Amino acid sequence: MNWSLRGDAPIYAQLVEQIKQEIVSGGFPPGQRLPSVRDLATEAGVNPNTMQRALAELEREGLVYSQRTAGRFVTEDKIMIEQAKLGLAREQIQQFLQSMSRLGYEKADIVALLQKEGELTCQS
Amino acid sequence: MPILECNGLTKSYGHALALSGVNLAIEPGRIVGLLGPNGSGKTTLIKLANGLLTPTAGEILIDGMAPCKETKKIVSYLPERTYLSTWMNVTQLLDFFCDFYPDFRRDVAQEMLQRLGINERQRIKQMSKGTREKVQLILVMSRSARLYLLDEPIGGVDPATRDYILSTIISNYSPDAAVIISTHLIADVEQVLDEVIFINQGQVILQSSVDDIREKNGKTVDALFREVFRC
Amino acid sequence: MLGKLLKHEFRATARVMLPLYLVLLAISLCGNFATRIMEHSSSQLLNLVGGLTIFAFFVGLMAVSLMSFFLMISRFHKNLLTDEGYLMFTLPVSVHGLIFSKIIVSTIWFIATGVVDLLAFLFLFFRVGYVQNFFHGLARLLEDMTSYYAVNFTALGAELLVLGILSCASLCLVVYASAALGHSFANHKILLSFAFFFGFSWISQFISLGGILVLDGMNFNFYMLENLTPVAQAHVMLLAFIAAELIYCAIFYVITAVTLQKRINLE
Repeated sequence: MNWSLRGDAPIYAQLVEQIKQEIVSGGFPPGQRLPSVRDLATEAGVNPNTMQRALAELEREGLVYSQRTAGRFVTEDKIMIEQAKLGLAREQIQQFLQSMSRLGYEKADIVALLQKEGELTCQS
Repeated sequence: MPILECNGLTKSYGHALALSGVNLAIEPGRIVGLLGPNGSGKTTLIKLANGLLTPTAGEILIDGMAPCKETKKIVSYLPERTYLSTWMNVTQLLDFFCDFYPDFRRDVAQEMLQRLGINERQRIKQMSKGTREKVQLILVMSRSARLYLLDEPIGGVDPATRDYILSTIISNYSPDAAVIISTHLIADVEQVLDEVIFINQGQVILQSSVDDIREKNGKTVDALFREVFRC
Repeated sequence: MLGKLLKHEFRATARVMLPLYLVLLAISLCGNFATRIMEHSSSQLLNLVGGLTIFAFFVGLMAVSLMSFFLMISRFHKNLLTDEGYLMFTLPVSVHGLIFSKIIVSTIWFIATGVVDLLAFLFLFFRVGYVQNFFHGLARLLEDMTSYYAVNFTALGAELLVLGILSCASLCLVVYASAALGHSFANHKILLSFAFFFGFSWISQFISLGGILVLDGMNFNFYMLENLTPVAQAHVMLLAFIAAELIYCAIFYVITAVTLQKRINLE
């Protein structure tokens, strides 16, 4: 998987976000065993303790569960994954809306623009 | 118990004060960046931990002991200088490390050498400066020590080698061992670190976790460093 | 750990000394042939070649002796006081182990050099009969001395050997102490090392000369010695020398060890 870390936010939070994205997009399908902390950390080039903290956070949220000996697995609860997906989508939309309002658009204009964009994409 | 502890540690060379009243503690399982501008006392601190210098005042403890034969068994040290005897070949060096360090993992070293395409029959004399540094790093990281002291391990190496060094440090991680990396190239190592210690003019001015700094200041450690040490 | 230090010290030095020994012995063999040829030939060219071979022999003899001395200095300096020191001083060994390994190995090479020099001379002058005569002569001499002076050769030999070893060790230690002290300063390390060496040599000569003068002035020691047999005199003298060397070694050992432990700051 492709890790890209920005400078401004805490590293563990970015790791949480990126693993979550991988799960909702099917990169890590439900029930799949995750690589070990060390392997994930080596791949991402981050501190193993930070990766550990990110996975613990995902576990707390319920997207990941651990079995004492076998390791960590992606949850098999598809509804929960859908919810996480929805959560990420809403975050994206919020960000989009914020950017648009900075450009001076009202909500109605944005919806109209989106509809127009959708029609154009369908045609092409 | 901290693996490295300094209490009021002071070192002066004649009248020049290199370290003054340093207090710090580093727990096992941590990867710590010792960050400071050139001449801030980083190397002096690391040399004191290795028993290459003796403190003028205060104390430095490795696993609760002042530096001695016993602490040297559990400390793996990468100095800034290349210390390899140029007449030796790689096999002789491996013999040397096997003889003196019971925790040296020859198979690990051989695997790493092979991956970098370094021939064991080759003499140090025939190697480029970069290759010598890699060999030295491999020797140091192939020990299963309790404390790794790496003095400027990424200064003056190419980006590919830098990535190799950092991934070696991560994949070698053990919850029983602490790694201290002294450097002034912070952006390169930031992601690998748990904690950073800012040191300036012989004094510790900050010890904090990397994510705490990012959370509190909303900026990278590198950016904070530039702010703190602005000329 | 001393054993392992010795092993690696031998590894580092043997690769220099052993080839030199072989070269010297080879030259001495050539010299042997050359002298025989010169005896039976009047050709100027052959005589010239022979002369050059003999010359090469003496150069080789000098070179081997100088090299064993130079190697003693360079092993201490390069291995402990330059970049290699970062490795040596962070090994889980004591400073004493480091110093002893260097003294022991250097002393062994000094003695080996003496033996090889002797062998080289034997090779050079070897004629069937000559060597036999030499050993016969030596045996006769020993026999005569044993019967005439009632010398106990085992004791005297042992004393001479100890004195020889201690002299080698003390030579090493003066050099080590000077180098260690010189390198404990920030600048002019090499120059200061030489200064310390000449300083120490001058002081120790001054003290030994002073000691003899004092004893002479007291007119005590020599009077006592005169009452002893020549053999007993030899024993007393040797034991006195051994005691003096021991003190000398101890002083410079302490200087070396303390300086390396407390004062060294590798660049």
